[in-house]
Amino acid sequence: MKRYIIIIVCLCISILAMAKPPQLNVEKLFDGSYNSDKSVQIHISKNKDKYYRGFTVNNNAALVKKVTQLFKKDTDRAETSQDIIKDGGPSYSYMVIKNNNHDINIGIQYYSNSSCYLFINGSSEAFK
Amino acid sequence: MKDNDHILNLQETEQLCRLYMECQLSVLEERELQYILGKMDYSSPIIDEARQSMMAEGLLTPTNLLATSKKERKKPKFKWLRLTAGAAASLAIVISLSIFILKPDGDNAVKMADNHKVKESTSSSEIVIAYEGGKKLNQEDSEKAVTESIKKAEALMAMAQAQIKEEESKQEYFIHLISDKK
Repeated sequence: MKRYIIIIVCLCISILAMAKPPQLNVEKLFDGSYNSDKSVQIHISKNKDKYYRGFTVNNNAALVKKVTQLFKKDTDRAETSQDIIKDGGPSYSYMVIKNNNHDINIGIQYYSNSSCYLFINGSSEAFK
Repeated sequence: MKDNDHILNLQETEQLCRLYMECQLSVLEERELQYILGKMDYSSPIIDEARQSMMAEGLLTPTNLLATSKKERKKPKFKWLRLTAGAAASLAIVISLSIFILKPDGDNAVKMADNHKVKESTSSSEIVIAYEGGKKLNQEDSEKAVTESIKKAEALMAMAQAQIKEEESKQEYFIHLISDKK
């Protein structure tokens, strides 16, 4: 019986030690709810090495606000972050989040108050 | 005493047990009875009493009882049940673990983003999906749009890196300027 308990404990430890997905807030933008939104462009590419997602908003101030909020939530987990400010507001914000010892690059570029472009980029290992 | 080859019936065994309880058996006969009680699954009040008495005296141990009383019979059954339960638990853990390992990454969002099947994409190793103006683009247009989008992201990342380097060199310049003045 002891043997089984030891095996189960070891398995639980291995499961806990396994890689986890980053569960980014900005990933919520890719949950399918904006697929039919006419003000949005979604670009997704994933292979065994690279992982990329792009989310472009055109003429939708409310959505730009939401994207910004999600981006800011993830900033708390960032290893490094950078804001380029122009005309009194950020024109470009960028951060690096580490997951599974790999970098995830997340950036958002503002074209105006109602248009922006967000990307998530990194090696596939970072998202496992 | 009977021959070694002769199998004692219940009555004969009971008779032997009775004699054992009355201490009328020789050492050799006791050994034979010990052997019989260990091998045969006869059960009656006198046989059980003799068996318990032998066990108490250490003549008979649970290990040399193959199939005797109901209590003793349960032991191998429990062992078998325990082994089966253990094997079933291990199998369940292995299956759940394999499901956990073999699930396609933590990439639920890619699956969610595409309400249709991902099979439509280029190949099983690469997923390229694009939505523009509320519609899903075909594979060729998706690949073009995604390539452009990736280029834009890379340009922005390069710009950010260049900006950081520029800021750092500015800082270094001012630090040198201040230290030179001192």
